[in-house]
Amino acid sequence: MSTARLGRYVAWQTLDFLRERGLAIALILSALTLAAGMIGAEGPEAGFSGAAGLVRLSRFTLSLVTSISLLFLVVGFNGLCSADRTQGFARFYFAKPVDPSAFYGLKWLVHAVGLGAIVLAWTGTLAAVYGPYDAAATLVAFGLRLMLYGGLFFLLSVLLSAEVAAFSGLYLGGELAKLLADDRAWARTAVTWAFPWHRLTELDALLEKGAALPLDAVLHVTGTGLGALVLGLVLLRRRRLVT
Amino acid sequence: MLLGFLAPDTGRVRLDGLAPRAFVEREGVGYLSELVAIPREWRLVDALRRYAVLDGVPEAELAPAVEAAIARLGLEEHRGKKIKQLSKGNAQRVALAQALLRPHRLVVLDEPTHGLDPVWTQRFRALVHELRDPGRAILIASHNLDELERVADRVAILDHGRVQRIVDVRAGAGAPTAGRWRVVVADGAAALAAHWPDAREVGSATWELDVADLPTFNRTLGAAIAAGLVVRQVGPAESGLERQFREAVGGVAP
Repeated sequence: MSTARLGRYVAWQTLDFLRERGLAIALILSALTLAAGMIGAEGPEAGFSGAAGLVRLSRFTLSLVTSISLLFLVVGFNGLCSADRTQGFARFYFAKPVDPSAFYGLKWLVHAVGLGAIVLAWTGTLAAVYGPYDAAATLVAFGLRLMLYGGLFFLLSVLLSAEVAAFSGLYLGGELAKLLADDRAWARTAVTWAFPWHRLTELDALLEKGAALPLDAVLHVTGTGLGALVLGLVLLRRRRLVT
Repeated sequence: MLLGFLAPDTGRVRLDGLAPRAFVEREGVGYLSELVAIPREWRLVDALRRYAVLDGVPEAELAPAVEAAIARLGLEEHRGKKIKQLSKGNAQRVALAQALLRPHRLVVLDEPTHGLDPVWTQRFRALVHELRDPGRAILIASHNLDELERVADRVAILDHGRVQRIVDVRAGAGAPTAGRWRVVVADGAAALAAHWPDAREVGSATWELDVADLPTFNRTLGAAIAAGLVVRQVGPAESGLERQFREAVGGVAP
């Protein structure tokens, strides 16, 4: 029963995602691409036309995703649960016969699919404009980030109301541990297990070369995100739903 | 706690034998919170559609249920407005409408008349009367004792997180037969003062006097009326519920 109700509610969640986040992300992505295209139009060396241009386009989309997609993911996932809790919207939602884990799990899925669809549409539009190019590395790089950061943001949103600040702390902690990893064992352990961003860097380098990705690194990144997502869903059943 | 939003520090809450969340997730609760929080960008009619979907109103019955709720709460002229465009009273009515989209066995209304104008406060009483059903429990949390006395069967007085007293309003247990009474005089105040030397004038033509018992009070009042007193209004200075509340929480008499 609850699944059927939430299935009907997905349409509203999708509409909310598009209105509140999706359109803004799509516009920023389009503006950045347009700017790059215009800069490229200044000379044949930098443009996206022709065989060499399509290789440049492939590198451009990959570099854009690896450099700024975290920003889109922050916009896409921020406040997923915490906003309803702190602003009080959860009170009416969960007076209805609704399982909070199912409600937010589905909301997370809507946002993840929505973000994926935007990137897919973006690469598809570029292919339509400039010609077929290799966007696989771009899509894989985005997918890895979607799983890792999306899962972590979800967990933080269940636990806290300031998840961006908390995530920034985690991110900086990971970077700091990476700096100290050569000298300190605890930092090496932290880098290996707790903060898998360094695996993303490894994977990005391989994607750029067009090399095969090691399964353990892919599983480390996606597993961390998935684990955080599942933990968040479990904690939703135990955490207070309103503040 | 009844809806499982918060866990009790001690003890346990059970609804129909179930933990609160299990009960709510099984059948839902008609709930109006004191803090009305509906996303401000939502349109009124869309807000009710969303809540109806979550409440399990079947697709075929969704539009009629939403329209009925809008009509029931007199929101027709506001149906296309965004929540942020509504006054506090109208937002309160939307919140009440979402609680009543579907019949529930348990209805919890927290300060339901907060922000309502006098007409809708009165209409609220009628709504509660319509909701009365042997198979339904309606729990109203309110600081408005007069309101509770009009709509409730039983009133639990809470103070410092504990139930201090349960007053059976239906049985008239709260109705005072002695104590301080108030008489509003239209004419002949001298006759009143002559029959109740201790009577005090507390406002424009309003007198307070101590009543030992109802038969004595009626006899004396009759004598005063015969002597020229014209009464506009007469009744206890405080309601039975107010008195019980004051006694339960240890307050000072007015």
